[in-house]
Parts: sequence; C-alpha cells; structure tokens
Amino acid sequence: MAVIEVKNLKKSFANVEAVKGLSFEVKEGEIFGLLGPNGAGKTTTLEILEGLKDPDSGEVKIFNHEGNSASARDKIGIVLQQSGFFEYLTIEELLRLFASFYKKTVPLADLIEQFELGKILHSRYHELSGGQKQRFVLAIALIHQPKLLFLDEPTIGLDPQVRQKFWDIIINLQENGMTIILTTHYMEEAEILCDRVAIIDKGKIIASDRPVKLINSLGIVSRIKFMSSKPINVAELEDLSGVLNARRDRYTYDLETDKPEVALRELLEWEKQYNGKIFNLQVQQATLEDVFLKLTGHSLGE
Amino acid sequence: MNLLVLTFLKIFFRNRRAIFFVLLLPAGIFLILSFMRVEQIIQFDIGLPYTDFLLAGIMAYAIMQMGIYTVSYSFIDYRKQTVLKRLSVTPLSSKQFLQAHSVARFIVALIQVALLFGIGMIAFGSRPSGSIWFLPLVILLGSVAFLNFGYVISSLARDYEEAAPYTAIVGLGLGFLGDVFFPVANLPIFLQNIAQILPMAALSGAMRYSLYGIQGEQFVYNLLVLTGWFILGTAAANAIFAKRAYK
Repeated sequence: MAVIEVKNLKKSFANVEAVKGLSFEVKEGEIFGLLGPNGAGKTTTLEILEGLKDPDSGEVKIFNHEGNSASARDKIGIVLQQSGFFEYLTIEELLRLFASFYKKTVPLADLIEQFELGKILHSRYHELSGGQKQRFVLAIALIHQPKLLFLDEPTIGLDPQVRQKFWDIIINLQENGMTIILTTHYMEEAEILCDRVAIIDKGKIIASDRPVKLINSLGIVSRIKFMSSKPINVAELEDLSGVLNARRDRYTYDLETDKPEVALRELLEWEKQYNGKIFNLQVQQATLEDVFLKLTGHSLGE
Repeated sequence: MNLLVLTFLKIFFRNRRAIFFVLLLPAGIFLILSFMRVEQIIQFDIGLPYTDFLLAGIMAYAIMQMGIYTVSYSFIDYRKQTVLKRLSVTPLSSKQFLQAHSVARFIVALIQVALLFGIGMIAFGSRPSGSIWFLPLVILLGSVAFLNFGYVISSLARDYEEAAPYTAIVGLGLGFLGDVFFPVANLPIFLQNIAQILPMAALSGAMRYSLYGIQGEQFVYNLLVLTGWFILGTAAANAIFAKRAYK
C-alpha cells in the first residue's frame, strides 16, 4: 500500500524552477530516499509533503488524503533540516510542551530511555552536542507515535560515529513498522538505509529503484583509483584489459571495471614499463555516487 | 494551551533583558520624570496631580512598549531560529500560538501595572479613586491591541535592521500622541484628532478613568477605540502571522 503518492509535482521560486514535475510513491514500511546534491529540489519536495510549502501544481496524497491534512498530521513525525526550540526552556520542558500538542503520546519516560535523554533533561537545546541534538529532535518527532517519518538531511554535520548510531535508530524504527522518507546527499547513507531511492538532479528524478539495482545497472562492479607522479595518457589506461572507462580528475586517475582483479593485475604490469610511480592505489565497489556521475556527468559535490 | 501560556511566562521571566525593558525600565522612567517635576514646564490642568497623570500614562506606555518592541524582536528570533517552523509542523495552529502568547503577555501587563501602581503608592502616595474593576478589561484590550502591532511588524520585517525603523516610527508616534507625558489637549487640533483614533491615547485615558475616575465622559469612546483595535488588529495579526511567519 502506498503511504505517499506524488504526481507531477512542480514548484518555482521567482525565476527558478526548483521542482519540475516529480512523481513517486512511498510504500508502507519502507525507507525511501530522495538523493541528490544541494539545490536539487529534495528539501523543497519534502517541505511540500510536510505542508510547509504549497506546490504550484501536481498532486500529493498522504495516507490517501489530499496533501498534508490535519488528520494526516497526527500520523506524521518530522525532522527538519534545521530545528529551533525556545532557548529558555530545558529539554524536559520542551518534551512536555511538544507532548501537549498531541492527543496521544508515548510515555515520556519511555522516550527518554529510548533516546538516552536522561542526562540532558535539565540542559537547554543550544548546550547539546550534535549527536544529543539529533537524538532529541528525533524524540520530539516521534513523541506522538507517528506512522510516517520525514527526515530532511538528518545526519548533516554529524561525525561518522554519531551518524552510524543514528542509522541504527532509523533501522530499528523501520523494523517496528515505521515508513520513512529521507533526503540526503550522502550516498553511503542512502545505500545503507534506503530500500528504494529517487535520484534527483536539477528538480527532476533521473533514476529511481533499489540502490543495488541502480548500481548493478551501471555494468561496472568496481573502480580503481590512484595518483601518479607524472601525467598519464588516459587512452593508455583505457587499453588495459578489464578497464571499461578511464578518467582523470586533477591528480587522481579513476578506472571503471567489471573485472577488478584482471584490471588491477594489468595496471601493475603496465606500471613496470612506466617511468613514473603510481601511489594511493585503491579498489572501490561501485556506489550510488557512480550512478549519479554516470547519469548526470557531474559528481554530487559539483 | 495552558501549558503553552505557562511556557511563554517562563520564557519571559527567565529572560533578564525582557524583565529589564518591560518591568524595570518603565518604573525607572516614571521615577525620573516624577522627580523632574515636568508639570512646571508644561501646561497641565486636568484636576489630577502630575504624578498620577504620569503614572497612568506610563502604565499605558509600558504596555505599548511590551507589545511593540519586545515582541517584534523576540518573534524575529523565533522565526530566524526556525522555532516557528518546527511548531508549524505540529497540530498547534498559528492562531493558538498567538492566543497563548497574548494571554501570557496580558498576565505580564497586569504585573507591570501592579508594580507601577505599587511604586506610585509608596513613593508618591497615589491612591485609586476610580472604577478600578474596569482595569483588567482595559489592560486586556490595550495589551492585545499593542501585541498585534508586534506580531505584524515581526511578520513583515525580515530582520532586526528592518524591524528597527518600523518599531521606532510606530512607538514614537504612539508615544507622542499617547496622552502619556503631557495631555494631548496641548497639541494642535489636527494632532488631537489623530490621537483620538489611536489606541495609545485611548488606553491612557481609560487607565486614568479606571484608576482615578477622571475623563469619564471619554471612557466609553476610549473602550470602543480599544475594542476596535483589538478586533481588527487580531484579525490582521492572525492573517499576516500565519501567511508570513508561522511556516
């Protein structure tokens, strides 16, 4: 069953078309990712679904109701990209305040235990670390036991350890039946968390499927990356057996391959007759980043 | 809703700057002007000691200042710090938010008036001799009328820089024409006519009647002016705040 249905969604700001006719569905119990670089239209799309922005045109259905209706709002939990709270209140007071907005809530003691908020109950939001803030923001979003959770760039600015802990919480929520839609520009995050992703670039969905399926559709298994002490003619590298494609990005050479062991052996053989030196050699599995690069011709950071 | 009112009161009383500007500064202005004996340099003949005249005026001025200045800036902070955005994705409506805030600030206004009157009684022997039971109604109408100015300014201004001229123009204009420091009868007729339809002079006059029983013939008119600003201002503030700030 589709929890969210989006058809031909469009939104412009002044002269900029931020969302150009997006259509997708999010099924019950899945984690669905909107993936793309900054400015791709992910947050605008999510904010339309959250009821923060009105679309110019298109159709949004959440739990079979038009848009973000009042009845749907009780079933939705939201983690905004940036959340602010009254600065003179403690975490405990904020939890009680937000709980008062809903008819039904989780017992606060359970929430405090689940998100390890016990030690920070008397602190104020601006005094918390990044990880503590994120746990608190998530607790606030889940205070009324929603069935659907929106996460807008939930791990931006967090260190890797905190990020991984956050992923554990999200996976645990899904195991308990939560449907989750998240935006991220971290490909690794999308690969680990998402059952399906829609890759967005310049306001359009350019691909949508399971992450593994999208990666496999590239036909490449891995990429071999290295740096060189002297410039190398990229055509020479493309002639190596097992190499599908070679490119140079400033000082780094990047070989796409469907037979990594063959390509690596060939490269090391070739190095013997090469009068320079290659270093920082890495073999990497293909990722969603490769999918994005292949489809758009530019990387996520560009 | 009750918890939100309590929350706004907590926020106010934990903010030392707000306490200074809303409670202490008006008391200080009242004391300074009373000791300066301003009545010797202005024409003053309304059958009331100048300190009593000033006390009621300062009460109205303090209520205006709380509504326009402190609310404008704190609400801009709420918007910029995405506090309003976070609240807007809960079932709490913008109307409920403003209602709770208005109730909390009405309570603060009652405290303001009580504090000022306490100072007036102790320092200058001021005694209530009017229809004091009207006072809560007058304070309610006046405080909400001025809070609405603050809600509108904070919704229209992008930041402090933009809010500053709005608050200055509105605050100074209302203060000057407000029957606060001197009777508006001293002003040219056309300014008196303008003052009569503004909420500031209406609030000062209604306060004086409630506290000291003077200007009774104007009281009903003053209440009508305040009620008009209360109703129209609330409608405008709700609409503008919902459209421009609470999202």
